[in-house]
Amino acid sequence: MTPMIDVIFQLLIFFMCVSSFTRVAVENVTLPDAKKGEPGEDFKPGRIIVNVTKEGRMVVMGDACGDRAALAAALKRRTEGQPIETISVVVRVDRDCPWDRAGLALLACKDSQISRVRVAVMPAGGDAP
Amino acid sequence: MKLTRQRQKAPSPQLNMTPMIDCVFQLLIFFLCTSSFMTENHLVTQLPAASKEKPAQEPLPPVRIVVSRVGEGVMMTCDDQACATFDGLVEKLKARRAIAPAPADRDKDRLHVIIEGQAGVPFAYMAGALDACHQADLYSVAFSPKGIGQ
Repeated sequence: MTPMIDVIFQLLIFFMCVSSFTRVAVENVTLPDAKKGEPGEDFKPGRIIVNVTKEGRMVVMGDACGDRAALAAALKRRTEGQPIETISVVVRVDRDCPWDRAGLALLACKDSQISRVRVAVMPAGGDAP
Repeated sequence: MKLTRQRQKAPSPQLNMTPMIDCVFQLLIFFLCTSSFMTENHLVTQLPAASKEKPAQEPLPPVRIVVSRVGEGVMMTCDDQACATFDGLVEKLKARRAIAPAPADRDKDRLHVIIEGQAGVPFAYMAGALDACHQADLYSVAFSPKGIGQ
């Protein structure tokens, strides 16, 4: 019995480590509902994901940014050298995050000249795809 | 006399499957727990930037949606008319859309919407207002920087 348990624990720990690396871009937020969202494509490698949590904490691909300027700088750094029209940012904001914090993420995108922004939502009932 | 060698039959090897099945079940349960079955959708927005082209036609006066806090609740107005629900908002937006039908090219839309939120309004209402615009076939939507902290 013992070797099997050893192996299972090893596997468990291995997969826990690996999975936390692959999901680093997505924070745990409760997205708002929307009836008319377009299906979000799978997270493409080049896509930047900005998370804003319930408390208004802004996280870009695992890096926490304190304010609008820091977020804009982080976006600039990640998009350097890419043509601006091809960059698309997914903004995942918690449904209970106050607008005065949530809007900062959008303003920061504007500051770094990114105009293609997608707001992540949960498909609600109705004609959601 | 014939000598018959009584050969001892070797016991057929048996594979013990139980630990492997245990292992596989463990893995199965682990992946079931970690994988997420929820798929999320996106509301595509175009923030005002980058376009230096002049619009072919003069834009119409924009629709203004204001989401403000009233006590513990939230109030929405569309061009200064109060809307109690998102469905009510969609109706009002559809009425505006009917006056200026949507062009084939979304980028050439003359009718724009500005959503203004007050500080402290939960983001769900802003996303709801954006969703209402999309439901009314209005895709040129901007968020006003008023009400956003610095």
